[in-house]
Amino acid sequence: MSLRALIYKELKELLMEKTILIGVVLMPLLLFPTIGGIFSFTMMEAARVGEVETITLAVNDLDRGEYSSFLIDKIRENNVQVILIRGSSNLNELFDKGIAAFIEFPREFTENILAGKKAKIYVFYNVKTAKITSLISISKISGILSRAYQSLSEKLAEEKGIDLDFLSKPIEEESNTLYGGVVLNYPPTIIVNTILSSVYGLPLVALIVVGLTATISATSIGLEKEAKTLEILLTLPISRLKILFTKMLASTIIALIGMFSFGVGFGVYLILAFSRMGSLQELSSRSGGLEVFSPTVSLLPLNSTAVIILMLTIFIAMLLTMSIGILVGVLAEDVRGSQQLVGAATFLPMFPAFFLTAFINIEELAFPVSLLMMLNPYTHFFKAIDYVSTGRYLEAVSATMVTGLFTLVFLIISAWLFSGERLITLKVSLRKKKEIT
Amino acid sequence: MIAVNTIDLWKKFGKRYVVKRLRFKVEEGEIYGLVGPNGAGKTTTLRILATILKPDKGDAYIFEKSIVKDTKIVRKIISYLPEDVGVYKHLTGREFLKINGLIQGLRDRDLKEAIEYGVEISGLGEFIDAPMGSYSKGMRRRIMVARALMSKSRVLILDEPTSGLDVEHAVYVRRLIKDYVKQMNASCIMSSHNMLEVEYMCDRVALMKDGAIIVEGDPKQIKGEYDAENLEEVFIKVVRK
Repeated sequence: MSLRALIYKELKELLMEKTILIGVVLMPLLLFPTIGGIFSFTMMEAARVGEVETITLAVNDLDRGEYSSFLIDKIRENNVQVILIRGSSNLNELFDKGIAAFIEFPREFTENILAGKKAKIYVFYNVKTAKITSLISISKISGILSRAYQSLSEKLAEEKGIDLDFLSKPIEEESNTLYGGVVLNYPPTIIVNTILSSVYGLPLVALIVVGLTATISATSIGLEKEAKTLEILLTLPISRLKILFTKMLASTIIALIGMFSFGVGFGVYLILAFSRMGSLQELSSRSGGLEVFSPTVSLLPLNSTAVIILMLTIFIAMLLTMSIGILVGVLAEDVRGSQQLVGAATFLPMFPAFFLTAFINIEELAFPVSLLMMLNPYTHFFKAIDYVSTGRYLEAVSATMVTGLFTLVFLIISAWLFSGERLITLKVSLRKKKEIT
Repeated sequence: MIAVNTIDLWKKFGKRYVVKRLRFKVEEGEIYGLVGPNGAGKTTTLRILATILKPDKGDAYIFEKSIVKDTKIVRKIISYLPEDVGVYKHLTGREFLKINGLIQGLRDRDLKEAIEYGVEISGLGEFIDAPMGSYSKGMRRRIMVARALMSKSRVLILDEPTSGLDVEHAVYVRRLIKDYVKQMNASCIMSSHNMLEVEYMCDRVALMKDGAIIVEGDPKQIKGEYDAENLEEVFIKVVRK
């Protein structure tokens, strides 16, 4: 009953706290869908502008030969308005009139091609602003030109009786990747990109949310220390371990709510952001330029066992972060002290562990560095994720257990400090002590 | 019966002793005051008696139970109020009293009665159901004093109970504590900077300096001994000696 009363107190105090409500619960629910919505709108607008806009090009054909004329005709075939310029002209004046690009064929253009030399063409693109719509427009012009060059190549090959398609691509590669013991019919770059973004990216963002909750759990102890309400709690007939347990439990519940909120928000973001990706990709591929990578989460070799281990791993890491937050709260002098310490205590070990585990093999590092990394609890978390993504479930569970052991150690230290008077007398701070004047 | 019996308490922080061979007794039904300047060791003494800190040497007994060995039992007897204690911003006064009652092991009718008593002595009226974050400093102190008294503890340990309060709230809190001790035949050990307050409230006082008691006794008796009008004058005379 007393435990229930304490949990009620902790939850109400934490959930009603504006910083927690906004930062952990509402922010992911609002922020991700908003970003997704804006992203989707931008993509839609960019695609619409690219679709509707008629492109006008200015061409100065100094060559007036067979091949420059051929290219100009090919460009015109793409519903492009071509204005032919005679003599020299001012680029700025042309671009002010809405010309998207200026193309100049030098005098010896056709002559060079006939002589078997590479012919030059000068293209000046009109970029008014560095926006996605400009990128679409540039990509469209570039695509039209590429197709015109391709037509010229085909024409030349035909004239010389050569099978251009065969010569340019005599080998057709079918890329397959063996990943986690499974053969996937995708190139390795797509697999690695997908795994990096999905398997590592999501837990990292989740940990950032949890990191925020750790700040809050540390703050909640700091606040109680500062307000001296903790002193009252400590004199009541309830064990200190129970007090610590309720703080942990309440923080975990908040973290789970935060995770749920994050999951919903991120899901909405993915739906909103990538639902319009197709139209942009279609437009881009039609114009022959700008390749857009579409995340293919379905590529992941994740079965239900992997998902369960992954969730367990993230949950244990969440507890780890929480226990660090609690420990910091116990050590710190006040709210400010705990807020300053918790950032250093969680994010400082978290990021090196993420980057080193994601990009290199830690066992291959020099001994002191690899030992240091193995002493970093987050290394084992990211290693566990790495193992899950390659189907090495037993190793993933082992790494998760190591993370759990670290969590246990932090909890034992917190409980030990919480049980003694150090809880009141310890005043660790990153701030400079004020000099007494 | 002896409610509080301290036997040669010593406490140091770092290398400095902040409480030195402290020895005093508080009778049942008595209000005992610790007075002295900042750093005299008043709060540390109260924190030791409240089982928050452990003495380096010596022991104290609350109704014959050791604060070192019988901590759990002691916590059921005492009620501690720290100086300038804050509140849980989002809990209402009533919720706070209920949670406190539950932790103290009160159930059903006892709990209900304790809450009603707490609500009554807090004098907060309809504000008892408002979040405590909206309370003024005086209201916060009232709810905290009500919390300390609601479970009818036999020993009150109060650190500066009226610190920072205006006259109206200070008078209210003083009267509340005095009436409680009288009605319940409880014991109270309190600290204060305000020697006039101690003189008004306490049956016996101890003047503390540098972690030790320098004078102890009935305020009237002490004033007579030192031929002083009030305790402040006594304190100055003792220090000058």
